[in-house]
Amino acid sequence: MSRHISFHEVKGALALEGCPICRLTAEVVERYLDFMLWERVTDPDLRREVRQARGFCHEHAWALVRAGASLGIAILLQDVLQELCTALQDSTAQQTGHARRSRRGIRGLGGSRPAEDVVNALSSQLEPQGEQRCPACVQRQTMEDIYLDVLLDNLVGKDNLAAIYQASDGLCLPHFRRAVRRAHSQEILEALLQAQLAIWQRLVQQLGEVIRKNDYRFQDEPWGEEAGAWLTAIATLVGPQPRRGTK
Amino acid sequence: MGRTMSFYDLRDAMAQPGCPVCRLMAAAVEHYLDTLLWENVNDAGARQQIRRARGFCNQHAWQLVAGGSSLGAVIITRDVLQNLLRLLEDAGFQAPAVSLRRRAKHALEGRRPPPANAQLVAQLGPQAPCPACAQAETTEEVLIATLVEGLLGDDGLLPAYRASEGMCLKHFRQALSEARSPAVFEALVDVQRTKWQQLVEQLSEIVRKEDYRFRDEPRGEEVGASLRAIAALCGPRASAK
Repeated sequence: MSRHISFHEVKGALALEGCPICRLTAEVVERYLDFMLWERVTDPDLRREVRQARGFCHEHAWALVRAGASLGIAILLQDVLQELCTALQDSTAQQTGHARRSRRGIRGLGGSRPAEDVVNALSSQLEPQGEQRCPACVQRQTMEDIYLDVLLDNLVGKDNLAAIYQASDGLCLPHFRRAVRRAHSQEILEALLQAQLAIWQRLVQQLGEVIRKNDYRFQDEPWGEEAGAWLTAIATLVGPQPRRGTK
Repeated sequence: MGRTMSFYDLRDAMAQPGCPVCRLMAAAVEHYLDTLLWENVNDAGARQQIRRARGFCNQHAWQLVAGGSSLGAVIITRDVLQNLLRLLEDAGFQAPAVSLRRRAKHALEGRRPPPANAQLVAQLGPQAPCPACAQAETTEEVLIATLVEGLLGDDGLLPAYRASEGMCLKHFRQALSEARSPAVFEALVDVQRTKWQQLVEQLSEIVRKEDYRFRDEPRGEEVGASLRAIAALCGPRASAK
């Protein structure tokens, strides 16, 4: 059976630590941010997307930080801040006009409160515009769906990934939820649930062992595979710690 | 006029770098997680809340173990995982709730059918907000209200706010929606515009000094402006592990 490159990427990631989808999409985002900073900073389409999204989400904004990136970041974010400054200038002018009209008695009410329409207009100007989301999140979600479908489609059938999956750290909870949602046959869901159940049972046992070895009676016993279970458990519930960027 | 503790906390935080509300929220979460780990791990109410939330959000889950391994964190995460295991043990396949005709249409168009297993997906999702986020949100509401109410007047926060780095975009938006008088609205907008304009100028200076003609000029206050711009738009970097 011929396999797409994504199959081999998923298979390779299953042999490594942590959720394979988190690992693969982190690589995708890293390449996307690198490409954006070094090649696309002056691309008008990208600049419009970033402006409309009002920058990046918290995770990806801080992931931009890397050696030599300050010029790219400065160019992209100067653009966003300039647009926000324009919105503030416009609202100041509108509010001044409103106050003047209120003083003249043109609008009987509202002298003691800021004009609601001015506040609402400014608030919406400060938010992401239209449907635009953080461009890196958009990229990540597209690839998440592709990798999850590859994993699910190959959990059953000839040369399937079920055994490799069961031996891995499994999907993190957020990706597992999405996988369950995308499992469109009983056979696939059963294979997924069976493997995930085994992975989580293994982890719960390891956590039990950590707790047991904190008891004064057993604290001199040598540590085994449960040593890093406390970190694996956190990564299982919420995904890996976001990349912090480098100064 | 009587001042609350939050007023003085805000005034002190305004003398520090970054958004004062973000700074105080981070301190409140830090305190909450510390208390949870050292005092409340066996508190039935706290455990129930964490189980319902399916643990913590990504940021606060990693913050929980930022100080290293702790028995408390292990007890809490094992509890959440055991709860999830019980859900999986009882789970069964649930076909997407659409007609056969629509499913055939999806298949013919080569599109994925609509989501399956809706009940299990919902059960695996958080049934309550991340407890640390809930704590942060309560603190945030108090701080924003204090800032807006205490901004003007004798001994108000305005001078300290003017001397600070301003608020991040999210908290500025929240403060605007709480502003109950034109004077407060105008003061907030005026200070924030000045801060953002300063930042835009500093970013322009970074861009200018990358030009080969000016690159030998000494660096000034624009150093670090790229990081300050990120913090101004989306808040401070999450605390390090």
